[in-house]
Amino acid sequence: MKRRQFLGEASCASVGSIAALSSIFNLRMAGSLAAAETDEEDYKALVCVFLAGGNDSFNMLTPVSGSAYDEYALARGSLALPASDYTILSNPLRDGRSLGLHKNMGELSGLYEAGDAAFVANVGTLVEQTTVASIQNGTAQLPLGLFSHLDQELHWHSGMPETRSPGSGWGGRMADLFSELNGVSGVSMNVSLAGINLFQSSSGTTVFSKSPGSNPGLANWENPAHLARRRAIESVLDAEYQNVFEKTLAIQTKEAIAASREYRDALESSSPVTTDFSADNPISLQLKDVAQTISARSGLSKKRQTFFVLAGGWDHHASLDPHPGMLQQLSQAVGEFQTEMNAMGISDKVTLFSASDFGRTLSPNGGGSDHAWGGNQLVVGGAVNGKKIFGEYPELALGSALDSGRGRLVPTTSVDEYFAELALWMGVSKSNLPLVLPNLDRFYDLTSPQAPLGLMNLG
Amino acid sequence: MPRYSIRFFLACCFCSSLFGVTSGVDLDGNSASEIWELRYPGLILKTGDADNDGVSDWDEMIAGTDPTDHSESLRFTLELNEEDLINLTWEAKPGKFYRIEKLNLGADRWEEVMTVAPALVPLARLMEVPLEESGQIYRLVVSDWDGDGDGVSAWEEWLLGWDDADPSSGDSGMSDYERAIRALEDSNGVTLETGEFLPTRLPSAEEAARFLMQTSFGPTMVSVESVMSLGYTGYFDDQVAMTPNLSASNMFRTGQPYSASLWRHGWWRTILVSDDQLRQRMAYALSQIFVVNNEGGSVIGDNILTQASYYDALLSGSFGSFRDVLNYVTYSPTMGFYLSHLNNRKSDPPTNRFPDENFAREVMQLFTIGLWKLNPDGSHELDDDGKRIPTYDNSVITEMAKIFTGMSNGTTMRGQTATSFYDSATGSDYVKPMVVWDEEHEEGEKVLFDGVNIPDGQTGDEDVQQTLDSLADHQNVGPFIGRLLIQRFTSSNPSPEYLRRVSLAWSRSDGDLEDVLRAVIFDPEARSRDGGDGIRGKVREPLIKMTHLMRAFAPPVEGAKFGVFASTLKEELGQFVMSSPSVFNFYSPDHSPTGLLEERGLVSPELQIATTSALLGTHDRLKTTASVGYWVRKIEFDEELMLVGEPEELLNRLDLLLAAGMLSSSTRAAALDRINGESHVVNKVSVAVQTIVTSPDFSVLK
Repeated sequence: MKRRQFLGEASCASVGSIAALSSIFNLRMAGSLAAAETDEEDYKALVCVFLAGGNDSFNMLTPVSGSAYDEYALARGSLALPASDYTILSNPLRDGRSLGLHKNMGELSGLYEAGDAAFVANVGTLVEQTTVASIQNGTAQLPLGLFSHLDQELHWHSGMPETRSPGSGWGGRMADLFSELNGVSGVSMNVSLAGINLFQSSSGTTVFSKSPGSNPGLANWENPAHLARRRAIESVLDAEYQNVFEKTLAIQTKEAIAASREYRDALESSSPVTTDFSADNPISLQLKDVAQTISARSGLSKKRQTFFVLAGGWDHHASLDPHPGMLQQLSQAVGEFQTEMNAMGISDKVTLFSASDFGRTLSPNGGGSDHAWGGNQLVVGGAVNGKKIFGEYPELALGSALDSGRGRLVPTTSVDEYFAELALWMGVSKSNLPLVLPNLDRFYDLTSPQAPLGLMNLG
Repeated sequence: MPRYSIRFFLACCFCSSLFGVTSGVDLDGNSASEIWELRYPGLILKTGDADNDGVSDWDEMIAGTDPTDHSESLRFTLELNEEDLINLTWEAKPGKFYRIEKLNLGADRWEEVMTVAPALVPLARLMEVPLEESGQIYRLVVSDWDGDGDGVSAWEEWLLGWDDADPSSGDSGMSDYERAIRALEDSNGVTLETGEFLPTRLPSAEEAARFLMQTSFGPTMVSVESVMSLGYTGYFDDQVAMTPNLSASNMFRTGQPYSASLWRHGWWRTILVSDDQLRQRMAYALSQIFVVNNEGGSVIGDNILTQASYYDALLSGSFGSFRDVLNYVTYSPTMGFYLSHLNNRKSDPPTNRFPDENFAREVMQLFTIGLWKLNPDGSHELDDDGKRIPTYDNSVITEMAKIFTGMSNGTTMRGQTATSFYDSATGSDYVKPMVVWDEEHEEGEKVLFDGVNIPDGQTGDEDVQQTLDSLADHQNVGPFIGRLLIQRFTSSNPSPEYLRRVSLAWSRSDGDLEDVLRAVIFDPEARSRDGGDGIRGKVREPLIKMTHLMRAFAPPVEGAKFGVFASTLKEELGQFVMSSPSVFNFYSPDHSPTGLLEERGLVSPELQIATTSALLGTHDRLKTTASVGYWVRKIEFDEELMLVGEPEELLNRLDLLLAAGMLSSSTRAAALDRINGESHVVNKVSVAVQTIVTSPDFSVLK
């Protein structure tokens, strides 16, 4: 079943089935070879922290010295923070500008200095290489619903901003490729702490979606005293339904029951996390569950996993006042997670990355800012080429070469390049990258010996 | 290649599905017109031939001939005329569509020779064809027809004396389909054009229960009997006429102490006990379009009077004009706070300050016109290159943002009337509508979508009013909002025809929500059960499954206490009223879950919140509720307990109350097994209810 679906996917993307088959074969070989040659565990996980609403990331990662700071202060007006609100990061940009990270993000600046964190600057959704001129003369193909939450979130999830019905997300397509590498399990490779999402979905992959802090499951399912109920439910769910909604619900419920039992069993036999995750921090709570699920990876027969974590409330139209506190929460949660990964000894096997609807206008609307386009993202983990800023950090001046109006900056790095780097690290072969990110060749020469950004240590 | 020795052959073909939905006003889901069924009562559909004329009653129904008259059936005859041509003749019945087809012997397929549109009176039809040496085979295909696409067949419209070219042929502004139901439900019966008299037809208990699953928070025996005696239309009219049960007063009748949760307790009480269910469902549907989050920790979340004022406005506006609701929402300080056009100031070039774009964007994208130009049937309007046409671009958003500048509270601290934009306000001031203060309203001309021009020199209020008029008048509003309403009440995947009929009601009534809702509910696709294609209906919202169970078995007791653990229930079910995570509601109208639905190109918004946790959490919550009730409300099985000695009777009752009589045989068998396996009488009922409410049958409205 899985294989057939994968072939379907491959032929859709106009890749010959022989190539696709051989890539499955190579993946499997790569997995078993890695295991045979070294004792090192073949495991990798990506953790997406989605900052829903559009993080005002030019107030997170900011030029802090000289004329670059003055430019920032002028463009942002009432939203500009004093330079003293920033911790200066090592390794200034090539053009000499020094960047600072908001001082509330102490854990993250620590990880950066330790070489375990990096940033990707001015990254966003693009259909093709785009300039202000190509927008103004009408020749640019633009992402659908530019600056709209729902659309831009979907585009970040799908990597296909030219369509509103992509049908699958890049994490889902990646999971299709890894279905042979992972063992047989009712729990999906793609685990969400924040609901069903496009990023992790595809025709061959459903999302195991749990609420933070509790494990899904039916009460008393295994209890012999409740056997009659269980039999009744099983016969109801096994029945043939004519209506497509009833069919779907029967299948989904059956799968959910099976997956929840397997998940509980795997978690019970896994080592508990040892780090204190802050109970009052909703991002920490989700990342704690991610860590615990990673700890149960062998019980879940997983060599590859993705996780989806969501932090809401970043749509700061009315006021940017809560923003520093939210950056603090984010940094604290990421710090705790990284501490746990280190304690588990697998920090180089787990990479956490942020994503967000869009950056925000440089210019204020009063106390807040509006929807824009390119923004800055953070990437954390032992396999990250840390202590660096990737992509082009833009000039923060209204009317600059990248300003499409009100300080909505045209992205200089596409999400495709950003995600391709992460997919390569996960073990997707270069020839398979277009299956995961179909538009990648518009931004990156697939025959190039270089990785798209150099963000990850690809070994 | 087949050879035919027959020189000339004629056949009749009865085709009920030649043009899709043409069975007309079919309320019991057997694909036969109710008018026909009332005219010829007692016939055995599908298999019978009452008059023994060799043509089944079913085929006579399609042909419009009398199934009780042995001498009448569709006949197709030929004779050689004086010019050596063949005359093909038949007696055409009014309202029926005919097509003559000839068998192409070489290609082995039927080819159309002639079509004959429905006549208004019985008529002899004649067609001349030449005689061919090689032999000829002709057939006459007869089918129902619906010229105006209103769901009432031409044959029915003929009998009722209506025009099959006009979907709303009366003076009432109602669709002909609704008028037909009203005629059938008329307490005096109805006399047809032929002089025949039809007795009153009222809904069966199962039909009533299904109707109430669409139009209330769950059927009860009382409401089922009410629909059965008043008819769909009488019940609907009664519901519309009821005084709204407003949350501002209702929340103080819950028996709960004053707290930030009181509004939620009040909503719960209203849903469980209030009689104005249709209005409550409509307000709930509107709350999923004009989304505001009421949860704690803000000037809205901490203030139950503010929460009540917003929801009560939706309740009051539920059967009024869409434009009025849009007006309320735009000026509401609750929405102003949520989408940040409260205290929205005009541009200030020296500090690079621009107007806030939040509300400006969402009022178009989510509340009125959406992103693409739509045809009335919901399909995309295309440009000359076959591409979709955006309704607006970003320049319109920046212009639109200027419109909503200058809005701030109308009252100041302690409820005094405000005197300027800059007066500050407290929590209780978030009840009165916002005021557009000209001192912070952006001056100058604004150019909106489709070149709508808001001229220089108007007051802020005039700018806002003109803008809202333009939005409410846009061609998209009918299909855009109409689809959302259909999805909330009846069907996830309305056909283009269904949506077109609702859009038509929208434009006919100028966006009157009562008229639009009547079009949503009184539509062939809503009133007729799944006709076998297996794609009708929708997955029900988990919150409505919960209220359904409570309403069916936890009848209100005088002086009873009501309460809800909203945050826990939201965690278990995946939703609670006014608690959407964002302005995009709990689910997208386009969500298509991986698997069967996606493969068939179907959407199911409600399945977007069916996470692993919520699927199982809802299951357990319903199971527990069926045993012990919910919080302070106990489940009472008084009537059901009297039936435990007759399990089949008990199951019939549960089937009616929980599944509108559509329980599958497998779920019924599983419930019966559980009844038989339980020794305690009280448990017999609750295990049966548990089995049903956790089944797919209960989750899906077909």
